[in-house]
Amino acid sequence: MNTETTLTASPERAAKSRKTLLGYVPMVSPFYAFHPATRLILFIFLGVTPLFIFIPEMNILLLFVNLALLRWGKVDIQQLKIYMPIIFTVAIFMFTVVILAPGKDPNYTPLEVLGKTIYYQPVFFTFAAYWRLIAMLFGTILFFSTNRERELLVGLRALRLPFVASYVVGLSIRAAGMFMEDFRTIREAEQARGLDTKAMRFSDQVKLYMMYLIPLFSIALRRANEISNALFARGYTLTGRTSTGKPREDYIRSTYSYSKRDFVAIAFMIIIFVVTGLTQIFFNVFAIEHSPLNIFLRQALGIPS
Amino acid sequence: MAKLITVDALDYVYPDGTPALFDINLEIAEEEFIAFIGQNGSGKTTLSKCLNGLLRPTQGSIIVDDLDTRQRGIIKQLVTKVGYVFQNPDHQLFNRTVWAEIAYGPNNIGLSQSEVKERVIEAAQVAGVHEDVFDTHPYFLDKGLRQRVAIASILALRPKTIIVDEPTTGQDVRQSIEVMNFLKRLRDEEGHTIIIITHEMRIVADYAERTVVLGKGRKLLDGPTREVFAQPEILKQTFVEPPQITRVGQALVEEGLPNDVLSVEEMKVAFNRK
Repeated sequence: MNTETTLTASPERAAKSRKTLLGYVPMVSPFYAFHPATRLILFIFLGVTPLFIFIPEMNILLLFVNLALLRWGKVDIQQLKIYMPIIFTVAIFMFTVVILAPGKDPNYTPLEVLGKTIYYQPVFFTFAAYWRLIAMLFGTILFFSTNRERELLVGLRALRLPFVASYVVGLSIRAAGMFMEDFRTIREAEQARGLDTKAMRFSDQVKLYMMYLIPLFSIALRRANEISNALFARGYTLTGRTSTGKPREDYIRSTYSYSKRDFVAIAFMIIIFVVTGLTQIFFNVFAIEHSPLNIFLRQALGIPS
Repeated sequence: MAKLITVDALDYVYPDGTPALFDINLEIAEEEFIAFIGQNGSGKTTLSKCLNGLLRPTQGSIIVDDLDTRQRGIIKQLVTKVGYVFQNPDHQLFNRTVWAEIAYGPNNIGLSQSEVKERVIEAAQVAGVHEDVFDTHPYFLDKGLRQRVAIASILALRPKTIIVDEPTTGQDVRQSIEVMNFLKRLRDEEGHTIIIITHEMRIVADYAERTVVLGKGRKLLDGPTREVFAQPEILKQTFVEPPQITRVGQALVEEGLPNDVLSVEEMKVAFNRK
């Protein structure tokens, strides 16, 4: 018999990150010094701020802020490659729609590009909207790459979201994670039976995704039933109160506490958010007309403002 | 027996940086019945996925019938050498009928329709999937039959080696015995090499002739099941206990009983001899 070794403690087995819904959360990150509520506010801040900004350059700048925060948060930037298909697909979809169906407006300026007439205003508008979307997308990636479901729950409850609502959000996030995990396993099972998706036509790939839905939903429904039964069996109530009517003790919230840096960060974000919102609402500072690129292109193409 | 798979100094590290396997060396021959055992997270499933090319070695190599699993684009050839049956049949059944499910693999490797038909009928027959259910949706079958359809879908690729992850999980005693006897038949009558991943030591004692014990990503023991179960101290390191009847023998070694009995019948014989 072959006896290889005896086991000793293996410090090298310590993982650098932990798998989550959107990839991997680093085991160590400066973000963890902040309370989950602060991180949730950062997510809201990065997600809502682009809605006030219609200057594409500023949203691109915001995207770089997100990237810098991801790097600072010790997220493996290489992992972002998996979002490239989404980023390109959104661009292709948005620009195809606006080029093929630009809408009608007598003020639109027609331009001849490769024998096809396109209109400047809707194309630039789409360009601006696209970068707004991408900035928001990266805000979401940042949040889910540096937070787990538990921290999201604590954040939501700290912001006084009703218990039941935070529970539903938490379970949804967890279900989405399981859904992705099941999807990965199904893909592996297909690979184990010799499926080569790279050699398939696009239409066949679409059909394949439709096929995935059957096992995915079947597993999800069985699991939803099991989870609801498990909650029921443990005396769960929708009110977030115990069976005796008392408010439920919130253990996970008690394991986190605010520090001075949380208050500074929250105040900083609120100030920037309020200033951005007010200057846009009252002075229209971040309107598309003020985009330096827009101004440059209009001048170059001789389009009146 | 001819050598089928050679694992040489295999290391595997997951994309999150977690090292899962360290320096695994293994040789698997034709018509072996092997069990991979060890606690959760010991690397059993990772090793199995490396064997059929689902995971590529981080370091070291795996040669399957002269094919190096590190080569890109080799999966279509590998699936006809090493079949992998997933733990939960629901993860691998996604076609609308049992027929389409079993035909899925052969279609993927580009066989003609007549060959596909031949293989589906053959695989279904071997796996005990009756043709009455060919037009049924796999989800309307009971778990035992879903497991058989999953195995049939792999058999249709005619791999020499079949890896079955937790073949008896969630099954009652009758279904477990059925599945295990079926796997044994595949080895005895069809000449397949069978690798099972399991936590049920009774199943290992009853069916596996060779057992590989993994712990924290390392191979701890590899040898005849009887000899492996005679090493309780090493097994303890990966939280594995030999079957109860073996432990009874080990507890009574001083009374003259052997420390490697695998069944009640063997214990009876040993007791009578004493």
